[in-house]
Amino acid sequence: MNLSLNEIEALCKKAARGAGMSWGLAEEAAKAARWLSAQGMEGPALLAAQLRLNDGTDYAQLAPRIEADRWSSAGRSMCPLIAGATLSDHAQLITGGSAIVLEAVSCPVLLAPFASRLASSRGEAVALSWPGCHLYFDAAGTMFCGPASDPSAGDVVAVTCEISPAQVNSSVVKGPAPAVAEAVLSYLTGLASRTYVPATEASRAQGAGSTLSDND
Amino acid sequence: MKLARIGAFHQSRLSFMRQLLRRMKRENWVFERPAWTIESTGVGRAVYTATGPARCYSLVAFAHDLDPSMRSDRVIATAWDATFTLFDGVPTEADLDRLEANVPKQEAGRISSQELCLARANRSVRLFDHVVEALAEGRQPDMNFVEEVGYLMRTTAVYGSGKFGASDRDRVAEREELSAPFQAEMLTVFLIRAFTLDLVEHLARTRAPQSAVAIEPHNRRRFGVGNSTGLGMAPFLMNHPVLLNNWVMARETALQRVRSVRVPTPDEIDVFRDFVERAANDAGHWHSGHELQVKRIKQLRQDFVLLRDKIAEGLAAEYPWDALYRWSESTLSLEGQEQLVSLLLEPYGALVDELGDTMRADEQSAFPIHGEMKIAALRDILDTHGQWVSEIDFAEERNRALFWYVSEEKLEPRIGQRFTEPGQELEQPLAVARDVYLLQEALKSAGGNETVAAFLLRHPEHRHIVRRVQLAPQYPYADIQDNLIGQEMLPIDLLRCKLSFFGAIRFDPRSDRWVRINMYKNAPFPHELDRHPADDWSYPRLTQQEQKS
Repeated sequence: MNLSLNEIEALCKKAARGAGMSWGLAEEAAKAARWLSAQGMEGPALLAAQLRLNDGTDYAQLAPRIEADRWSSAGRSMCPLIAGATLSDHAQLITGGSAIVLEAVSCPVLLAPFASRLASSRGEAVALSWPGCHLYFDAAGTMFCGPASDPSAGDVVAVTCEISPAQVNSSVVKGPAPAVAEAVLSYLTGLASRTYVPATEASRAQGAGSTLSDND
Repeated sequence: MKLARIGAFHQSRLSFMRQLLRRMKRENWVFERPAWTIESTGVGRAVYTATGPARCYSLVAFAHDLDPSMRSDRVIATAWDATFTLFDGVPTEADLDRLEANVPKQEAGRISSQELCLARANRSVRLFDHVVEALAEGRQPDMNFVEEVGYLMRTTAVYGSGKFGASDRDRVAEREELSAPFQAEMLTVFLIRAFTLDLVEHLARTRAPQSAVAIEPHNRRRFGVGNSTGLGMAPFLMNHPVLLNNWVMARETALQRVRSVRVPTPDEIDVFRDFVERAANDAGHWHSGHELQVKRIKQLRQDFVLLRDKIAEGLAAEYPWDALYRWSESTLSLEGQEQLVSLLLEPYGALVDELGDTMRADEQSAFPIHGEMKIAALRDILDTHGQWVSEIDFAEERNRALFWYVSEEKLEPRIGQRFTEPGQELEQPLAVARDVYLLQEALKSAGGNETVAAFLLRHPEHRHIVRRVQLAPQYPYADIQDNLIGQEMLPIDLLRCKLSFFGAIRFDPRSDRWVRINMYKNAPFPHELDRHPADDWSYPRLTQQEQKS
């Protein structure tokens, strides 16, 4: 199904919340999915893949443990949405020229929206790389893909995030938002529905405050 | 910025309807009705095209034969008297067929990025039937009845911004004519109004071709479009803090500019006096069945008596508007004070209209959290801008009595009783004051030199509220400074605030959770825009009879 970016963001926010993220992180996850879709990538599908891993896992197991240039994971792998939001929070705290290695990140391409924001908020180019993929973000946050790169590559990988990298031959990533596969839609809708409250007799009577006739 | 105050806002020169009509007149927009295939049963389709200097937009209307038992304004309805979409450009026959297969289904259909809005409306059956009957018999409708109801149809939803597959706002926000908020939605409703009047005249003509008459233009303009709005709209103001700030900031700046006028010209004073009379007359026609609003309208009428007396005493020689405004703060009800604010702007289009350009928002750039901020600085923001929260005692149950949730059955925002209804663990993040309070509590154990980034890594549950708090210094009107989960909270205050910025009038709450309004009442129709004075319709000029009374 073709969804507008607004619909993608709204659905993904509820789904991320339904999968257990805090509201603030769910907002980040939704913006990330929207951003990827706006570049022509499959934002909802990528998010769905990560939410399958997050669902039922404690935050502490998904969050990065931060040291100066090496972020490690308490669990099997760190969640790129939490790591990405944390990276974005550290935008002004990262020293130029240095690289941060994020050990064991799942669905690494979900870091891209945050790297874009990192680049534009610092006004400096940023590179993200992991085995099989090199992504570059210019100072405006525009994403470029390195030669022979596959952003969907990598299951659980170490990702290097660098400020002011050397430019290499790369092409801009841009395209119309692809249709969302039914399976993805149905998975995300299912997660979203966990945020809804079932009706009761009291809520049916009171919830919308409607007692007067509206047919007049 | 308290709920009771924003719940007393009135339309003004900055309202989005008035911005739209000013632009369309200034730019000489041309309006046409390239398609009209409505049968005598009232079923069929019509297209209205509005052409501006750069682009055109078309309202595609579908008129239906609705079983009266299906007629409901609730968002849960599945059939309507008429359904609409605003098409980006001029639709082809193929577009119209695609739209006909989807638009009548509303939420259950899909539209595309070529459409900007999706809307539907129901008849006010009693007025609709009366008008058709009168016109068919060659009579004008009973204008007292028209005045009492105000519209032939009520819209029950006007969706935009990417809803149900429609174009994202990002795609069109840079177009000059759509850059101010809700311009596509306001255009949709403006054209729907024209459609509803064309429809009754058409039905009268098909019923009695020999005797039917059209509505006289003066009477015709007394019809607006109704709207029925419920809780679905309420979270908008909390979910768009920067936008809310920009709306209120524009209004406050406009008021400030007018209060800074040292000596008004005689013309400006005349315009103000004229608008006081017009608005006072209009308030005489404002009716509501809701106890709260009945009281407010009564107060407003009393306020007009006081205001006229005050003006008759004579205005101050210098800074008279400032003096009048200060007087109102200690004398008039909130309804009256906010009405005065709107009236003070009327003579000063040259001073305030440009502020309409500041009412859009760049919400993307306000989104990232400033993680480098020290906790001490975050506490400073809370101390400076969050004082209002400390006035609420969250230890008391009545201050936590409500919770906002999304209903599984209707997929719509609802408000529940926290202590008697299930579901509070699924609360939506709309309890701003309570969440600020929880943040303040959590910050007590954080070091002042710690960064927000480090704090949020430990406390992701406070992320949404930290984002909000960080907006406060730059956006002083981003938050409604009230308890949105207190037992006494009135959701209709939230609705009225937003609807007043649209330009709505005649607020008529049907409960504390939904409200009926009127839009575009007294406005010129599309085909009249070029020959009517610019932006002079919000309160109609008084008839001779009204002037005498």
